[in-house]
Amino acid sequence: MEIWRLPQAQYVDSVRWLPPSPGSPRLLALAVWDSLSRKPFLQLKALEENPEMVEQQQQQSSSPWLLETQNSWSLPARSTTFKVSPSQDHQHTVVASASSVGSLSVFLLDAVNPSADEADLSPFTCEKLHRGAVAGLDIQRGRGGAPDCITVGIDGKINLVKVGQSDLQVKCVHDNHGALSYAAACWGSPVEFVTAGLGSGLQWWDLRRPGNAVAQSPSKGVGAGGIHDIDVHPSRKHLCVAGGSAGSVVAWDMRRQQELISLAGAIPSMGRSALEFPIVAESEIWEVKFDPALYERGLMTEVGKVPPVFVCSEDGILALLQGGEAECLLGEPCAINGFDIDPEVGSDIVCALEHESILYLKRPM
Amino acid sequence: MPSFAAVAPNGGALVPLQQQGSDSSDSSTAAVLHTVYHRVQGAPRILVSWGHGNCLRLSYLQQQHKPENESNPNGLQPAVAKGNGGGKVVEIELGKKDENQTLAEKRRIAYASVQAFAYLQSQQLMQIEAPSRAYGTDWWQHVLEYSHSISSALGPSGAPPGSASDVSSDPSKARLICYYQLTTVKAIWDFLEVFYVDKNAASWLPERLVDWLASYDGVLSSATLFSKLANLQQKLLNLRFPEDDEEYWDGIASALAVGWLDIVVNLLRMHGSYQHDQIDNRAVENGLVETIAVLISKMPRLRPSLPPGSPGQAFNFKPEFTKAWERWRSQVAKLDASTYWGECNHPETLRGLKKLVKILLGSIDDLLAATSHWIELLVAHLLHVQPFSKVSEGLASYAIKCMESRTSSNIDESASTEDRLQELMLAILGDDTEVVIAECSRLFDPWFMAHMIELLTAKSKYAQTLLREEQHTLGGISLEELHRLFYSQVLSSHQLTWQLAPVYLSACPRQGLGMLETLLIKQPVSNSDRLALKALEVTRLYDLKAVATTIHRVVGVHHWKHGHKGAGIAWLQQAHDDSRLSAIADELLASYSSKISGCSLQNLEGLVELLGPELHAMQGLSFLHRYSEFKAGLQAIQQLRAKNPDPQKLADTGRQAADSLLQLLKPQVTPERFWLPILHDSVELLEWPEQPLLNVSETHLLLNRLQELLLSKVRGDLEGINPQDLTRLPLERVRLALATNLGRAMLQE
Repeated sequence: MEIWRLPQAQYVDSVRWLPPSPGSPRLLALAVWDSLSRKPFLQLKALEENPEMVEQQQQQSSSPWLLETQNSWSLPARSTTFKVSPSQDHQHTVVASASSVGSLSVFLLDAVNPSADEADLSPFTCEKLHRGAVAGLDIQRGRGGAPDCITVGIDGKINLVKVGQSDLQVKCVHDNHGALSYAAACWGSPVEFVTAGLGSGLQWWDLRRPGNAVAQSPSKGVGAGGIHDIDVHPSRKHLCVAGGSAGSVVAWDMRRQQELISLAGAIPSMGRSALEFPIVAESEIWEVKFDPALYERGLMTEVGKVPPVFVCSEDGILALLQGGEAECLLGEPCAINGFDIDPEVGSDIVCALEHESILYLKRPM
Repeated sequence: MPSFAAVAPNGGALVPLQQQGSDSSDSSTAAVLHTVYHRVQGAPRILVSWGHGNCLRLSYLQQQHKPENESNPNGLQPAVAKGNGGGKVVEIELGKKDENQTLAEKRRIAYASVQAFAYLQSQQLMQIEAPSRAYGTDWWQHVLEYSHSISSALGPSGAPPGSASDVSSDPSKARLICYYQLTTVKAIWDFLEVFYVDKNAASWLPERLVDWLASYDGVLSSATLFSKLANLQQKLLNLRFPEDDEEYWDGIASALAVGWLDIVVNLLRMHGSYQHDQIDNRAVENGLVETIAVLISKMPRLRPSLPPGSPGQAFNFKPEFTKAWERWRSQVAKLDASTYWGECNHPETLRGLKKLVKILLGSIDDLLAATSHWIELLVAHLLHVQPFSKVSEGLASYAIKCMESRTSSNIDESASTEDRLQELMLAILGDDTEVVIAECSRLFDPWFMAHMIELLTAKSKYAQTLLREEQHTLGGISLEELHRLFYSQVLSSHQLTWQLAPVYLSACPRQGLGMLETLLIKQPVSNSDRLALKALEVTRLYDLKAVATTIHRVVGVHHWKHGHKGAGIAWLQQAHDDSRLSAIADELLASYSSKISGCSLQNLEGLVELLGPELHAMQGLSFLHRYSEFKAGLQAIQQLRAKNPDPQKLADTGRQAADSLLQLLKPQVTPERFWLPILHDSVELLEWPEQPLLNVSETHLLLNRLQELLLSKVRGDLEGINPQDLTRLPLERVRLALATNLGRAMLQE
């Protein structure tokens, strides 16, 4: 496993791989915050090999990888959650950033040459989608071809935002007026999604059956802070995984709704001792993601077991949870606020570090 | 007395003010951040406070009920004074723009150094806990490791121009400035390391100084061998026969004097006599040049090893070195007395090579001529004049001698920072710790001070007492703690670095904890949950439970105020704030009972579940829990009735609802003011069509509650009950239902 640190001199709120396009370098989308101007930006950066490295191998300071800024657009407000997805027709790459003031900005970038767009490209922005911060966001290729965003907020609202050719169409799916706060959302199918939040636990929603959630996980409270991120397995759509406070990672299988499977940490309400599963991190788990390498290569894990899951934490851990054991890939001195795994092979991971840098990790496949 | 503005530059500004926009005529017009509506009476007020970073936040509260065109005696910018809005808040960025560009670089160093510092502190704790390895023996090795990691964080080392590892071939002007500033810090850091940390360095100190000089000669002053050789490199590009030029020989002599042998050999091989068309006519001359080059590349050096490919022979064992050096010296002397010199036809070459031989033989005059800075002279002396002397003692007096011989010949007026640098280096050479601390604090920033103390205390007992002794004049803290506190303050002031401050504060035994608590409590945690969780992580690491409670409470109240009920309750619950939670429970019930808010039963249920089972003991909340059960029961009855179910199931559901009603009306469960809506809700159960649900004694309990309510009404102390409720929900209706039920129950019994 090889690891490179790429200092950015700007706070990286979030980092995502862009879908690969032939002939262009590998691109990363970054939601950054510049502490000097106090302005947030969306940046496209190309990850390229450093040409100087061949000549000066003894130079310890230069990294073999360079992150070259290709394009930069200012965001209306600082990003709290940030997602990238290819559009249905593969002509665009959808980059969506939801902010701390409740707005959503969607950029439609050219899929073949994302960095060619002009600097004055203005995003579709929807102000006041939520009262307070948008906590969760997910994009998928929607039914009608246009991308669908689901946004959830601390105000207890769930919105469905359709990205049109020229604007955003917002439909409120659910609103509990702040009685419960949502913290994360993830699409399960074109009409289904999962949410997680304070007091609500994990909930499964179906757009065909409006009103209330169609399924509810047994344990609702996971302490203050609750759940921060969820992910639905790309091929086993009935399985989702969630990470939250005190290093807790749980899996929820829709076929056995009355059970939450603990993968790491300790959830007091489960009534089980913390020793039965590994303690990966003691702090907040910021992001969780199923390992894409397995299903990309056509491998499957045993039936009945939870497939491998990546988690990153506030105490600087990036780990792979697999079969009741945790493999620690990174132990950083600062928080890992988010990570993304490349969509092609699943071997390249980028992490957004608290110390204004990107960490690029290549694992052997 | 002249006014301040008249004498000070920048029109009286002590700190340069950043220009907000070049087109703006008024340079200090800042954008209005907030508009404040206030009712503060009296004269207009200006409040000044620090924003984040270099921002100065000015709040101007205008006088109430005064026309706006009143003259503004403070001369504050019109952006603030304009309008009737009451008050405005602006932020002014202080400091220069170009200063800010290095801020990111400084943060990078801060991030890189915090890890080394934390690791060293943990090493120290381990040594205290398990003192099996005695303190002084290998502690300096830990510090050396720390010093290396900090030094590498400060950037790559430099090298003299023309040497193999020289990389700074074409730095742009902007980078050159940055390079200069950084390497001054790094130069002094490494200098401190040589003298204060590395015990191994003492045995080969002259060579350590040669290496150090090779890396940092360029930053010592503007006129050193570094710039001399850099100029020569430029010139050599266009010269076919460099040996005709005086500068060529001067350059070689200088490089030889300070021991940069690879440059010397490289330059010698550029001699014109090596060229193919010349070699026939200049065989003797070429032979002499080559002999010198070979002699130089065989020069014995007292050091463990030499970098690969560099000329010279390394000897680690002193007697061996002495023997080799004497043999080599005799070869040089033999060459000096050789007859071939007479056959050399090129006068410049003859003169130049003779000068090199003299330097190798340690001629003071030639060394003096070949070097420009006193440190260079010192190094040249150590290399060529006194290669065997034990130099660790008396180095400072030796250095002063070198300095004196320099100042007489040095005509250049050196700048004040350079002077300070000389003072500092002299103090380091002389092991004068007080002066080192004083000069460092004048020259460098708090980052340097906080980290260099570890170097000073690595092996010097005197420095340990000096820096670790608690001093009355410093309010009972030590110098070490003082500098750590300073640096923590710097880190705390920036929102990207505040998370580093706890590492340094935790190393401050006296005031660290208090400042850490203040730092955490002052974080704007209500702005984002993520920040709050990050602050809570710090409280977890340092076991600050009281601070964690405060943060939970602040965030909880913020959420509650902004209508995020669930989040508010969850955070307040973590704070164990019983009084606020029960107030919230009351409020929730009130809003729920009145049905004004859209809070559905399901949501309330979620909230109650969020409150958790362990809090049911708390009065207000247990009531809320039971009330939600009661309401759920009533709703279930309505649904069942609509579906025409079997009577037994209906009766069971009714009985369950009646049970929760009785639970609610037990003494000390429900606040009195909620009795009325609950009793009113119970009418449905009392008028149960199929059979009486409540028996005689149970009905009596309800009657008692009603009686108490009536008495309160007569006394007029129905605290908290809305009079409108009384008219809307008439007590008579409840009384009638109760009486009917009592009658039916008696009949049934």
